[in-house]
Amino acid sequence: MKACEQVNREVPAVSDQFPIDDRVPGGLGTAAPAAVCYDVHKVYRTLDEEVVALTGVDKEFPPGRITTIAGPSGSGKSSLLRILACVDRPDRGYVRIGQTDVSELGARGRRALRRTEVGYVFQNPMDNLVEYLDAVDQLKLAARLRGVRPGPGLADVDRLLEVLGLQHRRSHRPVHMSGGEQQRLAVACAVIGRPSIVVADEPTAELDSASADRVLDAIGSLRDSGVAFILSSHDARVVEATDHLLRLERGRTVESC
Amino acid sequence: MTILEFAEQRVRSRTSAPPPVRTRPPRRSRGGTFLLPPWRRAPLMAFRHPAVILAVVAAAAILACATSSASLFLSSSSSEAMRRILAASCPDAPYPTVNISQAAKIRIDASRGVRVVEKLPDLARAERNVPRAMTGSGLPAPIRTIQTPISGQGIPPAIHGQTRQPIRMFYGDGALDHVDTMSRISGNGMMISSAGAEILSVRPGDSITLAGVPVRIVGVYKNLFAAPLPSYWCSYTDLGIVPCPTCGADPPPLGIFTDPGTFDQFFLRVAQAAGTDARVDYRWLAPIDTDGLTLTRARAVLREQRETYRRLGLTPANQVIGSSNQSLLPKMTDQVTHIRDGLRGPVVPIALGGALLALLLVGAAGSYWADRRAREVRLLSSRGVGPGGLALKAALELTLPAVVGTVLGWLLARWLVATLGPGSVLDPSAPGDAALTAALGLAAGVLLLALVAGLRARNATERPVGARRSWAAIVPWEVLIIVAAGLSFLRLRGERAVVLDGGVAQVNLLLMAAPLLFLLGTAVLTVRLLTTVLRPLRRHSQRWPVPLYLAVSRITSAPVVAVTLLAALAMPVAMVVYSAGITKTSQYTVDAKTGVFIGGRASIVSVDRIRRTPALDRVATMVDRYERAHLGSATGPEVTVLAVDPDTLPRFAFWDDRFADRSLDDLMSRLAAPPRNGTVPALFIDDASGARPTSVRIGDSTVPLRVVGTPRVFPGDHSPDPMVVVSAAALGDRNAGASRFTEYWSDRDAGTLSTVLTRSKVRILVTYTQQKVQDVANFLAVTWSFGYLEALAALVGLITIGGLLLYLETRARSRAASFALSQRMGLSRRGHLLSMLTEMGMVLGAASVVGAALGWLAVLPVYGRIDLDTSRPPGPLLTVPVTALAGAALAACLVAVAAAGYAHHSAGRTDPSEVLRLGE
Repeated sequence: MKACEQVNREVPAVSDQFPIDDRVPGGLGTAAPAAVCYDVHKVYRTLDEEVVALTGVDKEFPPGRITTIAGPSGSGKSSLLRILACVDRPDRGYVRIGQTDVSELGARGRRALRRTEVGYVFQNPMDNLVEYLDAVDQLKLAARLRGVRPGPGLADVDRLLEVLGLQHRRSHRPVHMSGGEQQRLAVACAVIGRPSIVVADEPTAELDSASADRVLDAIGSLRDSGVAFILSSHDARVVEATDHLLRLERGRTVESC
Repeated sequence: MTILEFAEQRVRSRTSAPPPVRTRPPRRSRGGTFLLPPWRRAPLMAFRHPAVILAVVAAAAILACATSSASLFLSSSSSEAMRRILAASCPDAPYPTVNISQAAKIRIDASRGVRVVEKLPDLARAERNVPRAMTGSGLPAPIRTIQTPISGQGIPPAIHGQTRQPIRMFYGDGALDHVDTMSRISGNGMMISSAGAEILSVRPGDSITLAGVPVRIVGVYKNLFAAPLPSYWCSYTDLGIVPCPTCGADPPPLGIFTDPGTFDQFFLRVAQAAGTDARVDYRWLAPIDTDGLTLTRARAVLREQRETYRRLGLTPANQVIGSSNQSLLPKMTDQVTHIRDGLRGPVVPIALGGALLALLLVGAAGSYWADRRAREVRLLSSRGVGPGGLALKAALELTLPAVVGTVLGWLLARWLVATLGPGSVLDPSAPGDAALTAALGLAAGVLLLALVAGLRARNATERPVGARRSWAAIVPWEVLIIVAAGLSFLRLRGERAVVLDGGVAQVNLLLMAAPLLFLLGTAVLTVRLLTTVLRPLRRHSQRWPVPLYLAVSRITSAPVVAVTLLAALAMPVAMVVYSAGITKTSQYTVDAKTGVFIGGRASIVSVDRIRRTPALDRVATMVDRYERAHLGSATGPEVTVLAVDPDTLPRFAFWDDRFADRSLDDLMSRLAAPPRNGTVPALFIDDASGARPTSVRIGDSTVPLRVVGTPRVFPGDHSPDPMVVVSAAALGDRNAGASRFTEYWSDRDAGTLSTVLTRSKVRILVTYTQQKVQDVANFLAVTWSFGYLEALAALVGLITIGGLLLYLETRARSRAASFALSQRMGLSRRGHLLSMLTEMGMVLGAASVVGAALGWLAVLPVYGRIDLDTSRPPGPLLTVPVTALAGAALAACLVAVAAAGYAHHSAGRTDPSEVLRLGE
């Protein structure tokens, strides 16, 4: 396993951007992982052959940190992301989100966990938003689906819009926003209600560099809320902006830090 | 906690300590989730996706059409059956009738030794009460007829001068409007027929004497038998107004009174003067509107008739004076009820099958919704909304279009039944019943839409990628269906394929179920087997031209979709071919049976034999029928002898080459051969015995025969007795003392034949047409059952085309991407269109061939068992449904071209850069 060179920066201090009740108890550095993978295996079967997607992948995802899963196509990034997003289950191994063991959950349980503990950001900005709702309603919908009512902290719609620089778009529908704005709004929808983790599948892949930077800034600004961000990306800027890295090749961990 | 610590904790937890983590997710309240915008706004959301609306409206319309068609069809068929039965009967046959037969009460005066009238019938009272009771029961104001009994009992002959002639007397409201008046003077009295006037030598103004009572003759009308009988007199043939074939003389004249008062006065005076037990029959008929008479209305009329009887203190039993006097409505209603019951057996399951197939299309529309709304569905699913919530959203979005589709489908079913039949008249309750079943279908459809949408949404987001194929998809379940079909066929062998209930032929349900199961099972099995050739096909296609290679690649890249589509398309073709094959075979067989019974397309029976004339030769051939002849001697078995004209018979007689091993022309030329050694050439038709007769006894003559042919079936076969056919010329005058009818067989319509014969002074006894014989034979339930199956097949075809369009729509994006890539590689638009045509043509062509072959295969073991009338020859005659086959092929071509054009157009319309960016 290679040593990480670019990452392992100092963990930032908890800012006062969000109230104390949205922060990780005892400080970010001492908190229990928001998600854990241990010896995760995944095999896909077709009529003719079996494709090994993940082999013995271990990783902790600490709260308030950004972790990037990198690797070439076919390395197993999407498979791991699907498992972390509670869409799929590992064939073998252990996965925990928050305090819940995903490996033991059925579809209904994973769905419930997705609702409360996982935020998801798709690659295409438009896939993350309901086309007929304005920004405020998007956030309210996301909050209500997570089972919280808009209020203080990560459920404060106005505050989130302000933090992500979308205050002027509060009554606009997605079609009237730029791709970067749409993706920032998607990030806001993903974190609202404070899930344990936010999983983002190449969130900047369809954006120009300026928009991508603003999205990464937005994610960075939400880092100290205590939510663990797990991104997959090929983009070097994304890797640069993250706290931890998991590099996969042919389903195996080749770099983890 | 590090990974190592965590792993250790896991190991410890498995042995002793409880797990430190939850195995159930934390729960939070989701109260009011379904009041959120995606659900609250759902009813209006569908309108943002016109293609989805169109798909749901079309699917719901087809479902409603299938569910509501059964009750509409049953109602329409019973009304049409009633119409046909009415058309084959006398116009007044169904009229509710009250018959009152009254006689003067006679007492024998012993002291004087004579009979005296004690009490006269109270006709005035009856005339007052009966119309009141009829109208009071809801029937229309009746018309009245009065006649002396058929036997003429108590009525002495008419006397004029020295001439005495029995005469029958009649009065009917409006009767004089239906005679051809030759001369008339004013005033009341009696109109007499021209034959009666001639016999009695009377003219208008003269008086005749009946039982000593003078009756004034006020007019003379043309004999009713001199021309085709007006329909008014159809019910009064028992008055002797048509010639009697065995009497050898004209019937007695009929005197028609001009008014009921005169008739009554005359009758009372006759009774008083003669002191006889004179009797008179009064009859009131309520002229109900039979135009568009439905079964429900007929039953209501019967209730009104029963109420009339109750008010008059009569019972239906004492209304039976003679069958001709009794209303035939109860019998007709029974017959129609039998036809309806006979249809209900096969029609309801067929409709149910059609509805199930239509539900598949509804399910496909639900899947299409999930596809078109994939972005929002995936988003909501990623946020933890389950299939239930998504299903509810789909239901909320699609209910309104489904309701619109259901209403359209109901209207479509009504229009189809009104246009294609069986008839356009419906019971008043039928549309309501149809609407109710359509509503039930709608409820099931919306549930299925929601279910499929929910499951499809779940599969799209939650189904594990690359999951192993389930064993359910691998096991050939269709073999079970084929086994069930085989068992049904076996059971059918032990039962009658067509049963007669109340004289009405009804289809055994197995006759429908077994082939449908067979078609379904073999269609699926065939396409499953075809999938095995897809891989080698793909390998070979690499050397083929580009459009063909592309078409094969597209088919083989999605083998399950391709073969499912093929099976779905093969089914309606097979059903069309099966139902059309059975229908055509039964219809042709029935036509053949009636053709054999009648002799030709139409036939007229008379006692008059005329000389051949050019005019007659242009329209008919003349056949003498001798019934109750005997083979060999007078004590031999009974046989029917037909004396035919070999020159003209082949032109006008009904003939199918399967009736004999030789052609009809050949048989006739053998018949026309001159007698040899006194023997007459003859054809002998007898199923039972193989022996050839050497002579036949006709009347008082024995005719030696030389059998020159033994056809299995010959036209003019009326009875199960053997039949001998000879040339009329060869028979000559060896028919003394024989009872003979002369029949005129024609290939023209009955009207033309009747006109020619009437001009030649032929008196018409009976007219037969194919339609008349078929209607009476009650084959309607059978032919309509298969007609309905054919309609269902067309509906299944529609469903399949709908499925094909949905399939094309769902795959539109990948086709567009493929087209864009192909264009970059140099494929022309023409080449792409050609490849689409090839793809669609291959699928639809294979489906048509497989479907037609399976359909015909299902016909072969079944057709021989469908003999709608075993008492009449010939047996079932297999007939190829050329029109249906050509129609199915044409429809397949049209659909292939239209689908290819549509897919090509939609692929070419898409922006290639957009397609390539989005990918699949």
